[in-house]
Amino acid sequence: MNHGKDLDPSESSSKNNQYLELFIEEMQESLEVFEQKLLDLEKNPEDQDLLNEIFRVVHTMKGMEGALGFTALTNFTHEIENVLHNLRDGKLKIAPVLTEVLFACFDSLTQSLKTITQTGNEERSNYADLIARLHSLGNAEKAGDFFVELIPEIKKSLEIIASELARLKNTPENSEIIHNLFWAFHSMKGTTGVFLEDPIYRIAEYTESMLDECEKGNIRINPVTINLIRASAGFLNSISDDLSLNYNQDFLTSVETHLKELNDQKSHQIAIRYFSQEVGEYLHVLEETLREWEKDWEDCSRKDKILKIIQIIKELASSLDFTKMTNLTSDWEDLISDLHEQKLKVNRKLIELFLLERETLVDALATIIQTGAEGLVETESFINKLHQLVRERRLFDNNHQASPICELILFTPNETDGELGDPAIIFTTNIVIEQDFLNDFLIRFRETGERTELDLIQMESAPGDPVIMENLKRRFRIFKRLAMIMEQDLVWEIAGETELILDHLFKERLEPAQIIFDLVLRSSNYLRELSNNPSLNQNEEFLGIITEHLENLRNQELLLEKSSPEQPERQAKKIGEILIEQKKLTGEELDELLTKQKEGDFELKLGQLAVMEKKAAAQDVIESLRIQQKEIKSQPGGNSYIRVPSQKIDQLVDLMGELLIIHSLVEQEAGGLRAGDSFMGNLLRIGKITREIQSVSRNLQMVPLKTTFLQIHRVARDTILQLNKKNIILQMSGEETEIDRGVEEKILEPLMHLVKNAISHGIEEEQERLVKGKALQGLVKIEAYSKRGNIYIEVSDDGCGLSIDKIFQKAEEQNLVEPSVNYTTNDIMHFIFLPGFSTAETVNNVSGRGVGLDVVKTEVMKIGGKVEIENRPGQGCTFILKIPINLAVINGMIVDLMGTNYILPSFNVRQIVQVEEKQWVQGYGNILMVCLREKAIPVIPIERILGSTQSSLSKKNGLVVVLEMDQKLRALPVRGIIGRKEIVVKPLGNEFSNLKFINGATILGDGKVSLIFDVENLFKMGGES
Amino acid sequence: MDLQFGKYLTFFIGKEEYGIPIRKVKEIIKMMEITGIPKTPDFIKGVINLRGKIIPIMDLRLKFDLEPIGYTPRTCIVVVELIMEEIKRQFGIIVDTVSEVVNIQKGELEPPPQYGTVLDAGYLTGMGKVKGKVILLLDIEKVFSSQEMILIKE
Repeated sequence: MNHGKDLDPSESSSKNNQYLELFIEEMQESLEVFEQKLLDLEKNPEDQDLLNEIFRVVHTMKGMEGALGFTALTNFTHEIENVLHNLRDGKLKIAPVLTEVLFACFDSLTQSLKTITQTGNEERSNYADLIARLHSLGNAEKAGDFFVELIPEIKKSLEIIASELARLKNTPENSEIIHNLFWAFHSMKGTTGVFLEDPIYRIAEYTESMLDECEKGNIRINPVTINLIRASAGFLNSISDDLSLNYNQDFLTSVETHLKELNDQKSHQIAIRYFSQEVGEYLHVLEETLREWEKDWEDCSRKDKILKIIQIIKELASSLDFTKMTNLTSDWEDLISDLHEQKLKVNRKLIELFLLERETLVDALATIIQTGAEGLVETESFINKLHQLVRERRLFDNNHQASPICELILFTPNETDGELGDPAIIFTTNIVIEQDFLNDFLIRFRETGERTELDLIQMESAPGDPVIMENLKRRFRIFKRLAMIMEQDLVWEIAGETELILDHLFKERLEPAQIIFDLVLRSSNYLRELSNNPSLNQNEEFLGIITEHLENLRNQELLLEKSSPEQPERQAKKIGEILIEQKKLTGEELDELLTKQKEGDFELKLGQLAVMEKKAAAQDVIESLRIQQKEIKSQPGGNSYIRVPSQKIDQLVDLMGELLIIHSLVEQEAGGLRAGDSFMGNLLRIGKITREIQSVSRNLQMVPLKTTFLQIHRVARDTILQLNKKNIILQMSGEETEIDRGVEEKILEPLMHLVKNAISHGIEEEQERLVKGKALQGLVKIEAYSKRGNIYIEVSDDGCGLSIDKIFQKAEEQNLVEPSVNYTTNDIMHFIFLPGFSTAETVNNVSGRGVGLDVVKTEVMKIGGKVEIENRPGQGCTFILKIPINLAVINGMIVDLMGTNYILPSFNVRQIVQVEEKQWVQGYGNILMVCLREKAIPVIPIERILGSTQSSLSKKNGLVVVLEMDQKLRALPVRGIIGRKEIVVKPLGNEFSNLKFINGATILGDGKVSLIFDVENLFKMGGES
Repeated sequence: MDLQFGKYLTFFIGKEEYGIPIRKVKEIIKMMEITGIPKTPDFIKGVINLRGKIIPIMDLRLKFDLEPIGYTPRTCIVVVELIMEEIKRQFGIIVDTVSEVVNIQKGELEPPPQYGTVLDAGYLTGMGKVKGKVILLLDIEKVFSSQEMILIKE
């Protein structure tokens, strides 16, 4: 031990050296224990023995210090002891903050001991801070009093909570968010957990405990729980902003109420979980029983079982105060009791009603699970009414079957004043019903339609998800049941067929193909139309459409049945096809077999059947099966593709863009280094790799136009059928052309519109074509190709073309024509892009509803594209969409224009020329042209376009960039050429969309922003003079 | 209109103190070089590169038709994040100096003045009275709404 160095002789004589040495030794030991126990205590904050030991050690230290007369140290240790005392008494609770303070005390004690060891004296000044903290810790009641400095930390947690809550709203199933929330509250609890009565601590604790249940899966995140968490965050925000709230009685009362609510909801929500599980199971049994009953409805033995299940559900619902569910089940119970007492007789429709009721319960349960509370059961009144009618024996009564056809006229309420408007809907049914009952039915009907649409949208985003599929199936089943009860055969048929298809998909666990998805979607559309206007079931045209639709549905169903048993992998060739390819089977034989298979035993595979029917030898079939297996294996399997959220790709491309920028920055900075330097070499390599990654990541965004074309094909087909223009052939080419995914999404609508237009307005009726001497078959052609950084999609028809006269006439009618202007043909053609412009003489279902070509134009312009028209009067016309391949990267030339850098797309730059004075051609005092190789090239009046007062060109030593666009040349005078670069185009935002001469902006190597010229518009604006 | 009470970042334009809701403020940066855009109103200073994002910058002083003063070391760009036409966008506003963050309670709010102000009251959501001073609460979405921005100089 080294303590003799600076020992003050007078001090050392007053205190016995031997004692001091002993003291130091003892203190060191005590401090060691203190530290060790503190560490232990941190791990086991509840351990009372540890606390006692620490207390004892500190007490001993205090005694020793006192004995040697280190008064300041003794006081300090006394305060530590005090806090420990409070801790022992349970007035305080061990929390991270507190242990931190104790560790600080330990450090301070150690330091003091060191000083004493070195000098023999204690330091006098160092404890004030810690003593103050310890002191206030002993006296403070609320965390807020003591932990003012921890408020930022609490706020940080609150920020996390706020942002996670915002995320939670969109993705309630995300367990990561719940985990983060849990930790945020948990850490807040830890921060403040010294004072058990502290509001912050308690709110954090209660909320944490609820979140804990959420994490365990006992509570679902739903609006109720989210609101509670939000409320907790709100209270915490208020306190952390204003600590005096800790003593505000009103505030504390509302905190108490909130805490109670939290606690109550915690148990309630947990109860809901068990409730939903149980009720879910009962509903399942109920369905099975009802289905059995449906098959054999005269056998009433099942009603007891059903009654029992309903009673259980009723009890469960009422125990959780779900009144609506209780009422529903209680009504149902009454109805079955009537059956029991022979007041009612069972018939099929009654069971149908039961099944419908079960579906209503399923919906109600789903609402409870999703929202945590009983939602609106809008259908309640409908079901109630049904019950009433049935019990009064006015509905589904066997004696009532001969009731006449009943026609009801529904009035559509006038939207403005709520009064009844014109009689609009005629509803026909065989049962006698009342007006308001019918209204209820229609509401129910519509609601089912809406839910179906929601499910469909969900299915599109997660195709093949069994839960969604099951939901969707249920919706159509509900339609079916409703239809059955109300005797709406048309609805029944549509819903029934659709359900069958979905059922099939569900069983085979297949992802719905686009075509099936469309069919289902259309079913839903038709049902919706019917629900909005039930009189459609008398409408010949509509009936025709439905018949065709039903046929399609049935055909698809057949296809599914045919293919699914044979198709372990969807893409694999069918065994029949392989057999034909191998020349072991003829087409006719295959068809025959397939029919047989359909008629006969479903268990038999086609191969087996073929052998049985002696159409093929077993050897051949086995061989074909092997070929099939091989094909399945050689196909790119499921695991060589992964689905990536498009957002991530966007992010990747963005980041790549930034990486390139930084790379060029580094490159500039390293410019001074010798080329042979290994650093430069590596830098170049990095650049190369970066560019490669960039092109790969750019490619990730590219998709072939195939899907778009498929969808268009479908729309075109539908339109042709709808308009009964069967004389139209649709030709498509270039579907392999690749296009940016972002662009792809946006061109679909405009393209569809153009194709619909071509079909409905472009191609003439057969008669007319005959008169004109054209081929009877009209042709609508869609063609895609890429050229010079752009994608061109042409939609052309060989119909009547645009009638310039008619357009002009129409434009005059609509006051669009300015008499003073002399319009060119091209100008007139562009009238059709104005909003609301339509020349169609008859407005039909397909187009001519107000949304017109203006939408096409704006949509295409939004993605930086253009629409052009090629009109061949009498011979048809072509709409050409010119769309950039991708919006992200172009090769650009940086030029200095009047001291500012601008970018010109490299593919527009023809050449750069140094011009001598004599080459300029002047007119009206301005430079108009420049002569290059005996060719006069107009100069773009860039000063005028940019609204600048400066002049961009110097006559001597003038530098011009010759730009090329659509075979036209223009010269742009510049002050200098800075360089050429791959640049990442970033949009400037809508605010600047009026600046036609600018296409976007980019960030150059030095981090500065430069604007990119739109050369086409530069040409146009220059041409206006 | 938004829930108005809560925290506001305040800043000065001349002697007037304005406030915008703190949750809309993304960050505060010092003045940097701005790329001008031709044919835009004077108050549109242009665009800057904020860590790879290009964001438009507006000089609020000019927007409010006040005398231009040179930029000082205290001049800042307040970057706000707004949801415009359902898209999250960032904009920057140049202010003379950033002042503080104040908490405006419900009772301290008043509707915007109806008349007699130099500034078009349409840009205000209200006025907050805190610590004995009046803070003009700016309708920042309106300031940046496209109608306001599209005023291209002819």
